[in-house]
Amino acid sequence: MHEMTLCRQIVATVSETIDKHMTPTCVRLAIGKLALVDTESLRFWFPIIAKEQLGASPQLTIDTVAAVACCQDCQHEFTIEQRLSACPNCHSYHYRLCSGDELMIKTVEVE
Amino acid sequence: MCGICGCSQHDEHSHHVHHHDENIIKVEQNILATNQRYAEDNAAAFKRQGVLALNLLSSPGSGKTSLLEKTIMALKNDIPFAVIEGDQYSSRDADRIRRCQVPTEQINTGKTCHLDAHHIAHAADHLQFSNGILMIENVGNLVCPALFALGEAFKIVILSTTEGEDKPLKYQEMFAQADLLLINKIDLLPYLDFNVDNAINYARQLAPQVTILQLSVKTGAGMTDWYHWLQQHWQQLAQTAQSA
Repeated sequence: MHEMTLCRQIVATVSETIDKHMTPTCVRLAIGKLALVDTESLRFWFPIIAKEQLGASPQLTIDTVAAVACCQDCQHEFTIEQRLSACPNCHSYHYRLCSGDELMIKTVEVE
Repeated sequence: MCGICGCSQHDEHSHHVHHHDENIIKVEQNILATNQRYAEDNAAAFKRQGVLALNLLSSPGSGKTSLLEKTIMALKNDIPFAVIEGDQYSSRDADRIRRCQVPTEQINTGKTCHLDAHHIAHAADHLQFSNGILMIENVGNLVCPALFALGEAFKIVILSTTEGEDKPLKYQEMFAQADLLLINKIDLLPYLDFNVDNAINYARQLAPQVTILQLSVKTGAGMTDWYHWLQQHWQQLAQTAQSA
């Protein structure tokens, strides 16, 4: 549900980033696997909000970033698919998320 | 081969790389950077004003407003309170809190499903509150509010027994962020298949450091522990302010 809000933020950032004479043609995002974002919903809202606020419909490219956890008890690094995950080495749930919660605007391509 | 457009000829490649370099602007910015900036400003303002800001998060109907009413009536002679109420529509919750005679702001989020730090900045501006506890009752929703920092000192998640013990498994991000988990409506446990130990285990697996209190706003059971938690954190803030 919050993807509409996120799209507004993305479009506002694009608008601040580019010069007035430029037309954005592609926006590239990096979204972590655990970032609590429905990328399909982002793809739905993005062209609507971009058209409304920028008068343009840039392509949206989303790179998914894998979620990697570092166990706080045995320092083992492992890939996780959801927050509730135990270390496969020592079975502890006490981990630090090294990646996977990214919500980044990487680049804007313009013409 | 060019990783961007797939061309393979050297001349064409050089030409295209040049073209791409000119036309691709690096941004490298968090989508929520604006919210984060507001949240940091809010946190700094709360610190200056001696305000302990608490973000109360739960599904609808967990008893957040009742918890606030009872808490304010029990502690308001000792601790000044102010409340920001977040709901999609209506001022019903703010009307209830105003009867407790504490400064209250109602935010109606309309089409959005969460409070953000910008909402809070405006509401705090209207309240002009200092030296007390600011309770922020977020929109009843266990998904979206987890994403938006408000500038709060603590996130308090409320889980009521009627919702089922497996809520932490279903809404992992929210429970992973909890500083304090209140398990409410424990007076109903004899009538429900809610296993408290299971709920606590799930919550601790997601947030190993979380403090967990069990209470019933209705009967008052366990409320003293919650009041102690508030008083303790309020005193810590007051002491830090004095020594600064």
